[in-house]
Amino acid sequence: MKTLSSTWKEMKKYRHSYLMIAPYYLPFLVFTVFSVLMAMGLSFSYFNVLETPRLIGWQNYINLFLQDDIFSIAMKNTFLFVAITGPASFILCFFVAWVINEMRPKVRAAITLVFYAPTLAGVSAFAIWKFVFSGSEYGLVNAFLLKAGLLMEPLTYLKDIRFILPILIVVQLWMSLGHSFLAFIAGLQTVDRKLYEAAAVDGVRNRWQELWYITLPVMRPFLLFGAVMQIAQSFGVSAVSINLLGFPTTKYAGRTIVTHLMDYGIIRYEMGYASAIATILFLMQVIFNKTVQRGLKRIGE
Amino acid sequence: MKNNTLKYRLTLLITFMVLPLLPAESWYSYNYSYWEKPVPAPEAYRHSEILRGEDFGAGAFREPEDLFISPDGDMYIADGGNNRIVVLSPTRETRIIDSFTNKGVRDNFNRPEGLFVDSRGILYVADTLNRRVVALNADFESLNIITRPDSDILREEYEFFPSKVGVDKAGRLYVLGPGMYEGMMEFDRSGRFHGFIGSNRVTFNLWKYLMRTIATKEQREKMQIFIPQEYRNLDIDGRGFLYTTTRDEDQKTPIKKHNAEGLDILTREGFFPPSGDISVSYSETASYVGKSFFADIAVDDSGDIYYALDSKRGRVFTYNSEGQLLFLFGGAGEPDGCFTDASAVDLYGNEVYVLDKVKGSITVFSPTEYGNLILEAQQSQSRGEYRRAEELWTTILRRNSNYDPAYTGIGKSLLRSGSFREAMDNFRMGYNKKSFSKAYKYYRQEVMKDHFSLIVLFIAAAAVGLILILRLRDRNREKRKRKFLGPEPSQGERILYGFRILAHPFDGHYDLKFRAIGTWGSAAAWTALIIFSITFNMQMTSFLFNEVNTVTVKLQFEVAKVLIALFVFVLANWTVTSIMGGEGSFRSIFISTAYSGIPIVLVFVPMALLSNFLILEEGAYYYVMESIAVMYSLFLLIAGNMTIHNYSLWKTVSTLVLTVVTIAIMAFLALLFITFIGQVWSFVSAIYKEVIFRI
Repeated sequence: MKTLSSTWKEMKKYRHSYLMIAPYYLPFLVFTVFSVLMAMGLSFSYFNVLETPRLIGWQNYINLFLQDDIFSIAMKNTFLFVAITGPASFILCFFVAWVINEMRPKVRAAITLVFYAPTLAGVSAFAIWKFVFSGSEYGLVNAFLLKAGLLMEPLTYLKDIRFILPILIVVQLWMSLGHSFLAFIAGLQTVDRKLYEAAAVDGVRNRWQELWYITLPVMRPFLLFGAVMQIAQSFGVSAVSINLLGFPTTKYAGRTIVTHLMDYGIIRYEMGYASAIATILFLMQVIFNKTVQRGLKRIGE
Repeated sequence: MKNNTLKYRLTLLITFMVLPLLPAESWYSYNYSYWEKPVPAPEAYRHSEILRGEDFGAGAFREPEDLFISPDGDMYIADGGNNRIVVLSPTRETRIIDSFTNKGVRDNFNRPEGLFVDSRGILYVADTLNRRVVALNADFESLNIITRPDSDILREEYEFFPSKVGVDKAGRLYVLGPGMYEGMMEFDRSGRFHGFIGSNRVTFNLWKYLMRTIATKEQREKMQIFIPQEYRNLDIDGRGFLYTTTRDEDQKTPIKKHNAEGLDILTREGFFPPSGDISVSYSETASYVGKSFFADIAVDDSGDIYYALDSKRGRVFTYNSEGQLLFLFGGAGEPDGCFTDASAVDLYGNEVYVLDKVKGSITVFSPTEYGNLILEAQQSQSRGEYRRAEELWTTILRRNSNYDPAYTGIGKSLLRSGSFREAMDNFRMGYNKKSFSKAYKYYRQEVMKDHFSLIVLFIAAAAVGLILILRLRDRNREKRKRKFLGPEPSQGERILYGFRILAHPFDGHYDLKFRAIGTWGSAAAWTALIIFSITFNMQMTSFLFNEVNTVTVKLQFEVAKVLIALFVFVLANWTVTSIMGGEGSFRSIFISTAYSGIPIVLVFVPMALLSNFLILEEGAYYYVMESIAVMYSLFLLIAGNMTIHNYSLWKTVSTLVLTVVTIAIMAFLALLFITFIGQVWSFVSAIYKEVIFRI
């Protein structure tokens, strides 16, 4: 009670500051915090948008984990994105940024554009991949393999469950180079050159030590931002799957938690069930973010 | 009482006297286990009769090539060497067709190699050396004669030598022959050529492909060209599916089932795709080299069971529609029931008839009691009578407890009746991972549903506990840091220092070496932990993901393997780095290598336990986590190498590559040494024998 009243006192004291952040904070409270809490509440109910929600306890979660085989496919795919695409993209982003940072400013600008282009292009970029992996003999991959004599007839990559997931991972990797990449480039620019000179005097011998003891610690806020972005992106993969592979995908091979959520929320209007999926997704993201942040805090210690 | 023992002894004596007179089971019957090992099995079929041409007044057969038994029991034999067809009725009366009426003129066969009788009773003969297929009616008048089709899809130089024919219910005629690489020739009812169906794929071989791309034009011309294999033989089941065999050492699918489009739709759900003998010798000195060669195939009308005849070893492999090997019989050699050059197989009821080209005889095989049980169980199962099938499979298991398809059969019945736990046990016994996973999925669902609130509670409690532990850790952080900085750390602290390496690879390895935290003892402790976690993983990983036979695996070998691998790596790395200016000693290399295995210890043990809660589709969790652990270990190894040798990254990577090369050289030298010792030993023992002999 005491802390609460003291908090209230503090708030009163800084009421001008609170007023200042209100334009952002109020919409955030209403459209984010409130909706997350509402989704958590709805996840214990049956709600089809037309009737009033009916409380059904854990039933949605029981169905989700025990009955819904497609959800377990979605979980598995999302896990693969988080475990493979996330870290791979994070490391790739950093190294590309690191290499580009050494270049002359004009070249750097050009190459930055090249790497950022996929994110700018957005949905229209899928047309390229559709062309690359086209199931006809004119698709790039098919054409090359046919010409090399490795294939007898074209393969339908985007409809074949053997290829769906690897393709999804590759395209997602390519798409996800955007935000964190820019953040890293910006971060690298902020590193003070004097620090390197000082370190050289203090006995840093090679580039790796430079990287580990100076660049990374200085860049820690940018790395944290990049990691949060990557994790959010990996958990939220859906546009690639829907635009490239269709919705639903063949045998649900390309299903992710978010496409599963969209299926139940937007198509079937089973909002209670969709809320349960969303709650699980939210909890997983929170836990994962916390873990990664703990890990990143130790860099350069 | 006394009388009784005497009687007993007498029986025993008689048994032993009679035993050698019984048909010797030298053609040893077996089935393949999941681990590619032949396991002895009771005989499912036994030869009951041998039919020779001379016994029925038809004269001896000469190089008979094909055999066909019509639904009413007439047996047609393409007696190629005598240029005739012999028909043997069920009452053993013979008819000999050595000529027929072709548009009012007598005409003869020239080495007919294949024949087929369709449902209307029309006899189709592949009159091979006359380069035609002849369709004859019951009065042996030719209805139709098919010669080389005049079509531009045929190659110019193609010579039409039809050797096998088959007709489906719709009257479509399929013809096979040597040099027909494009597949099977299909003719319609009136004998018009329709095209080829179901061509075999060219088997792709990366090595050959690379050789071809770098070879000069002259060299390329000398090389063997890539052409698809032609089919050897065919059969048609009651539903009109074509079964074919191919002679193909490279291909994994010598047996195929074609639908009307010519696509291969054979189910291959057994331990191995149907391809005959699995553990075969490729050495030049073996009596039979390489894979089975299927000369013929016979399918029963329902399509549930097919018999593929391996002419190389004279064995008949029997598969069910799932592609499981049910049993095999026959063998190579002179005795009855064995073959020198088996050329054709066909079915009549449950009896199997096998034609031997060299012996010129037909061997009739009848199912034994055991074989009958299997056939019956198989039929009940495909009819959906799972209860009945379960009883039969249980009886079969009493005769052969190693019979894996029976466990699967029982499991399927139990799965249907909802006893998932028992079904799981049976699928495990039958090594049926797919079905086990399915049964386990239902079982897991059941258990989780019963205890859902408990599980949620447990997860919540675990989460709260974890948060508390982490809080506590954060509070003690500073204290722990100081503790590690002690000048004389205890052995336990030295070992626990490994956890610091996880988060600080470079500093950790630096401290291990330069602040003398790593010792022989602490590294040995980590080595022991690595060995423990690897062997633990080997033993405790769920049956679904475990590729190691937990029963036959020898623990001491596995321990020795890890130890030798570690020792060889450290030795090789030390050898390479001492030449390349590395600063690490043998001791520090060993220490850093042992400490680098920490991710393996941390992940392999929990993942082995966790895998027992996963089904096959969730294998990704297991595999990804384990590969991350191995990759992180590799990263730590590189970091350690960089630190202790004071190398740059590229130098480290290149020394590691050189280390691998050195390991290969060491293995080669070891092999050489062992061979040399063997030679010396045989030389010494030969001299010793000579000396002993002369004295």
